[in-house]
Amino acid sequence: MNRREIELVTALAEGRLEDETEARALIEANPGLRAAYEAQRRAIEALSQLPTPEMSHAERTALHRDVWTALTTENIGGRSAAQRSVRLTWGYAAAALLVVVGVAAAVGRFTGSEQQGLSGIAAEAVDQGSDEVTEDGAGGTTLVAASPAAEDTAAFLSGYADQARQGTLSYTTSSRMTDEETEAIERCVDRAGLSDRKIEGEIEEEGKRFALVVPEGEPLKSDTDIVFVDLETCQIAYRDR
Amino acid sequence: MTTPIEDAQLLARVAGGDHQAFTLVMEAHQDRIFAVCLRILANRENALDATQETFLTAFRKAHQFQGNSALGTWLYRIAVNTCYDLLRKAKRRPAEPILEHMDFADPGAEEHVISAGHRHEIMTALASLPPEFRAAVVLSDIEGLPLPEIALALGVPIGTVKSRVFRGRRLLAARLGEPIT
Repeated sequence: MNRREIELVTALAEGRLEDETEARALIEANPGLRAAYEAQRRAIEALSQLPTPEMSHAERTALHRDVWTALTTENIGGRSAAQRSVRLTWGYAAAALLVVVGVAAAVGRFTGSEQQGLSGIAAEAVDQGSDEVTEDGAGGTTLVAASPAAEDTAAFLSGYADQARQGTLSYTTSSRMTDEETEAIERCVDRAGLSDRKIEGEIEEEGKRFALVVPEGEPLKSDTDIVFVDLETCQIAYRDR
Repeated sequence: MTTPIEDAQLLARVAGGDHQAFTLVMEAHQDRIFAVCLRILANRENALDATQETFLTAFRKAHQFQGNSALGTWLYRIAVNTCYDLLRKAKRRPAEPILEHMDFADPGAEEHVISAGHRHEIMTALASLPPEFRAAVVLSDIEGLPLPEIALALGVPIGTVKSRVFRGRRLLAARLGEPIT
């Protein structure tokens, strides 16, 4: 069977020939070609009987959740901050929130009574909305937001804090700001009660601007205490340590 | 249907970290990618894993997309390579039952039970083909891609695609035995 014969047999089996005369004559005259044609037809017909498989709704949801979780873990999402065009998805937010809730549950302090006696910063966070706050045994404070908007904020700022510590977060550093911009942010950070800290930079998320504030005189490292100040309200939006 | 330029623009946004753009890509292509992976891997769980890995790879390599092919073709190529990887890994592991999670629609009705039996036979035969033939046949006869796109998706010349499709069908027919009535 030569290449031309194969192409003719294939085209005939696929129904692509406008004039089938030559191909039909060929397969009638050659038992080998006829067998090849019938095999092609049988396979095509068999495969056409297969339904198109679909993912269930749960599988689709899990796919999105798992992809975003993996991307968040890898900090690939950090590039989004560099471009300032990130749109946080619910899957990403939900995944991050699950982690936060999981940590809170693990330390066994995820109760309403824990909301009393919090650190000043955590209490300030509570004041900004109807959020719940838990405090871990090491003194670290985790904001667990109750409203969807606050959940978004907590989720992406938590992710940004991790990326900043790992050096994968891009943001407008204070050195690249004009004097006016720097002064405005300093005033805002002072109002948030963080005048003893250093303004590392500014980050923007969906039109909201945050100052990234870190301890003075310390390089960013894995255990750096990072505070995000909302530059509109001049209040602490999230603290991650 | 998007143009290659629109695809390239979308992927450029993904490469820039635009999560919304990436969600658009996933939602537009996830079902077809899953279908191809399921037909090649013949295992639902593995197909879901391969689909996930395909999109993760697409995100990581979005900056490499040049717009020389359609976005869907580029994703098919990633998916097929991901499936090949999984099949290679599976080969190194002890044999595991296949087709246990394949989909059968409405197995309750008698006619559907009959067709489900036929489908199972077809899927078993398909799963028994060498991976290269299987991928070519799946993209050609199930996904209905034209030969040039299959060639791009598989990374082989068109002549090779023709040969693989032809030989894959012939092998499939032989495995199926007598014509299905």
